[in-house]
Amino acid sequence: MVKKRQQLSLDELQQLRWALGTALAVLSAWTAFFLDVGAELWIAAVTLAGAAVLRWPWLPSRVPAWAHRLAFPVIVAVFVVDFYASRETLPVLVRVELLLLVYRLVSYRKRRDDLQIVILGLFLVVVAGVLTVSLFFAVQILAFTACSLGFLLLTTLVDAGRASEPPVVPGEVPGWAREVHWGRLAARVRAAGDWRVVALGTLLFAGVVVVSALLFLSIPRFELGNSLFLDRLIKKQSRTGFSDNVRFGDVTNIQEDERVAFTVDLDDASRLPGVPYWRMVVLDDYRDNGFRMSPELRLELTARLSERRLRASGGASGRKGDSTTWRFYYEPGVSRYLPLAGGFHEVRFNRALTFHHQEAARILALVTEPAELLGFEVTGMDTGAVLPDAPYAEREHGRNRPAKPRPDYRRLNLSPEDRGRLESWVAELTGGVDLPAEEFARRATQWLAQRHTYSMESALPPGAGDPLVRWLSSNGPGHCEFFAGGFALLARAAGHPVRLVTGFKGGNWNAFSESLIVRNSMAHAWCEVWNGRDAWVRVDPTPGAFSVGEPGPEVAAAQARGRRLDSGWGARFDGLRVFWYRRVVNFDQGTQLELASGAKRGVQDGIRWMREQTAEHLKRVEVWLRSPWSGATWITALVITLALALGAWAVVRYGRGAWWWLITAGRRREQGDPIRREAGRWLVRLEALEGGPDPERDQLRADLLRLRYGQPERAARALPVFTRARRVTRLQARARQ
Amino acid sequence: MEDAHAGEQPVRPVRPDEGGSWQGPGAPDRRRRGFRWTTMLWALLYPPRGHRVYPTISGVVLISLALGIGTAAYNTSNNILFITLALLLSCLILSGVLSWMNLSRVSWRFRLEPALRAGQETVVTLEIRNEKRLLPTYGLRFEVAAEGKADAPALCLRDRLDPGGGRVSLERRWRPERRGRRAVELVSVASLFPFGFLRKSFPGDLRVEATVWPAPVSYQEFPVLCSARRSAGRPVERVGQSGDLLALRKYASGDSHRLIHWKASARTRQWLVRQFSSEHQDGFSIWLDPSRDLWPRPEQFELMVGLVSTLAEDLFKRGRLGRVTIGAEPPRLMRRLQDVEALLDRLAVLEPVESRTANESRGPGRARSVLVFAPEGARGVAAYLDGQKAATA
Repeated sequence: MVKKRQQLSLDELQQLRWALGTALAVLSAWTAFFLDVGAELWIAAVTLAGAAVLRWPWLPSRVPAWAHRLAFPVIVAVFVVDFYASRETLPVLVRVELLLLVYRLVSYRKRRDDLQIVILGLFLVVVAGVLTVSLFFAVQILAFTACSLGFLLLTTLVDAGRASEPPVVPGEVPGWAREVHWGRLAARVRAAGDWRVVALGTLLFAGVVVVSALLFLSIPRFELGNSLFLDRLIKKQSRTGFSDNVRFGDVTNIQEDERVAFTVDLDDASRLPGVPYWRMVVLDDYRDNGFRMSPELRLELTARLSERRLRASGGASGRKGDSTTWRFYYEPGVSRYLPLAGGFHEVRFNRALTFHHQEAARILALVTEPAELLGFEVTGMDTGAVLPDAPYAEREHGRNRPAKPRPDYRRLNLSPEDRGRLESWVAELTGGVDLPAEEFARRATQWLAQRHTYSMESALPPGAGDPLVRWLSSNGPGHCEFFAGGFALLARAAGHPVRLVTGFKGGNWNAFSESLIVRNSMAHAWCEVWNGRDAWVRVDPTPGAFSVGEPGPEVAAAQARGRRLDSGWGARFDGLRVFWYRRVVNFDQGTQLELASGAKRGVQDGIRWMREQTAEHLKRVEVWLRSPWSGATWITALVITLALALGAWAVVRYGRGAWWWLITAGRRREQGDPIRREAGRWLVRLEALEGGPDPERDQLRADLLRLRYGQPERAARALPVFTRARRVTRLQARARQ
Repeated sequence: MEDAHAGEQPVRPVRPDEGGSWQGPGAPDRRRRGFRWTTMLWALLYPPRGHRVYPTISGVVLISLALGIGTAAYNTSNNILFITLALLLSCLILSGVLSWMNLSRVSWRFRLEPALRAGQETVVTLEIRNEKRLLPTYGLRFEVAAEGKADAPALCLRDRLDPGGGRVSLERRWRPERRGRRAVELVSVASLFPFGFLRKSFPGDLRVEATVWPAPVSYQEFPVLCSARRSAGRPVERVGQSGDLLALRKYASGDSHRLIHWKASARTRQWLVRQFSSEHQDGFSIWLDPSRDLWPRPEQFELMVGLVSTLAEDLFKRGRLGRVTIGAEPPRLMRRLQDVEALLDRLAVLEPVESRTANESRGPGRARSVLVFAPEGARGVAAYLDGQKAATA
């Protein structure tokens, strides 16, 4: 007798629906964590409300009726006030959504309210996904989908189980909420559930994921060239100090952040320099205790505005003919300045953007900081330490007198005392001789290293005068900003044009994804000094780098060997993230066409291979047929002919049934065991018998089950069981008569 | 003379266990046809007649969301939106697959309580069976129409219908208004399963006709009916088994096998039974004339049919009903309960006939103890026994 599974009552289904709806609301509210919209308070409120109504499901009945009446006006008022205060659409929308979720959690929901929770949750998950483009989005959307489908399924079952939806009466506890024991409910669900159905449900959900992936790959794409509208609804603040005004300590603060800043994926890994320097911001003006971009340089940068473009041309700064493609996946919140190793031939964005480009300084800056991950491809990128600058060379050599004011890379905004101290140090390290820029840079970096050690725990010494001059005069430790700033002051005091550059240095090679991961902790500051002829030369005065210009081949090889390799679970996760960026986030029409042509090539190759194989086999048969026939050959040919004739007859006689006969041959063999079949028949007859507990009958049933489903038994052992079964059934039939 | 139903199949009420064959996706005849992918795919493109899929409010919201997200995805080329769109579309596909799985190998049939009478409430049972091996079935709604009216609330499958031949019965109360052949029909089967996005509806393909006997009427019985001649000796339930042997006659349905005259049957190669004098000694005969000339008013005709059926049942219960003759039809011997049921089946579909021929208008002739019926006034009906009023309704 098949044991009947328990059925969940309507109240139990309602309790499950309540629990799943609450979980869905909390799950979707947590996605707002990734949005950085100042909604932490509301997220906590949703979580607490969810926990409370799960613990005490009668709680919503305590909400007075006037609170329900006031709910909608209050929510609208909060929205208006919040919008008036912050002037940001998206964050306000998110906060109001969370408020709505709180309200839905603390009130008994009807079907339409359940639907509202699903839609609000979907909005939150999608907005978070679009704005962060994080790998977590994949996890979130899958969890959300599974939870929503289960929730909607329960809602449908609840609706099917009742004639009509009962009204929600404020102050009244519904029957299902009066006594809820989650542990008991879990036990009931276990008893009512069938693991095979659960397994099938899991399989179906996996099917949904696979179908979604196929749909994602096959949905036709068009390059419309529009930018994301959500960008305009949120003001993103840089979480780093990469702006055009860097104060001492900004870069160091970034170095404490281990998050990924960007990932570089390139065709030819050998093109990667030993220690790459990713230039972002060029700062030429030193004043007010920090370096900043001078108004003149900013004017040069903003003079050229490219609106809603998919491409940026690097002009003459890049390496023409270099086919290496560098793909950058630039995380949101880093900066509006894009990291580049130097000049470039062309930059292609994954969406239309508005940007500024200053070719001479190799600066590419977006007008607004990207609110979500930005993917861009760079071709013809120059990674060298020497950056030619023809316009500045002409200016320096007096051949070009600019009409507009230009950046002054020699300017020292210092008091005469501080200037005097700098000049004395310059005289000390040059011996009073005018040195070429590179030689001066070498001596200056050595001089700095002799007087200062590197430390992240650095502070400017107290006192009067310029802080950086104070640090130079001390023997205190410093970090990259102090060293770069100190070098810039010394070089300017010596009359060399110099500028400070901030960005990132190095990167960890991820062997799983074969890409370079650059983290915020790799933020760095260094200098570029004018070589007096035609170019800017990179100088990194920070101890440990000591680089002036291009490193020698041995040094470069040693640097490449010494590049840090990421391993472990963190690196695996980073690899997964890169896969996400490469294959999902960056998937576009071109990739789709490549995929389609790859699939087409695969099919064509397969067909070609099959043709070749067939031709080869036919040729072998032909050779075999033409060779002299022995007795064995005749027998083989006869057997083959007979087999083919038999097959042809079966197809003609049974049609498609012949294939079915062949496919189910194995299964038929299993079913064909006469002992199993006979045991099955006796089991059915035994089930039909009625009566109270009977040990003999129970033993017989166990033996029959063993014969039916257990290991194959010999007939000699099975026959006594069947004899017993016959006797028992006869006795029972007589007793019934 | 033939009435309107003369050409139909034998009239009889639906007995238990014969409420109609199984219908639905899991009905045996459909399973014999087997599953074909081509049929299923074609049905997706061109749904069979009566198959409808309506989006519910949730469905409209989902479709609007998919459209909005699709537009945004194309407008911005944002792959996150494309992923969301793909997930929404695959959820719709999953919904269709689950709905199909929910309905597959499910069948249903009607079971009607026997002896349906006009004006009396009865129960229509819809039996549902799930022949799937693994998956249960949930949330089906059945719209049932009786006598062409589907005004009652739909029958809902509220509990889980377990696989492996699990059965459940849904009941609906029904009060037939009129006698006759009345149809109970499964108008449609609908389901919101699994997510409530779409309401799938298709014809139930199930129709059962039941015979509704005339409604019993209250009548006034006159002494002549009570004091009529009774046979001497012990009253018997079944007439025709005592008294002198009169003759042999052909076997009729309901005759006891003990009455069969084996020798005569063997000689004549047809079943012959012994006929006793007691068959005609006791009880009344009913002679019913359904002529339209006699019964010009339909309501009076209905009343007459109700009175005849009620009197026939009452007299049979008293053991005093001999035979019943309806118009020009052969007389019906009322020996067993089945005979009375057959009479009620006939009365259920009896309609006024056009005119009385000379042969028909003869009436019961010189036979005695014959109840005949005639209109009384504008609305009433009276039964006369040998010219005396025996009952009125």
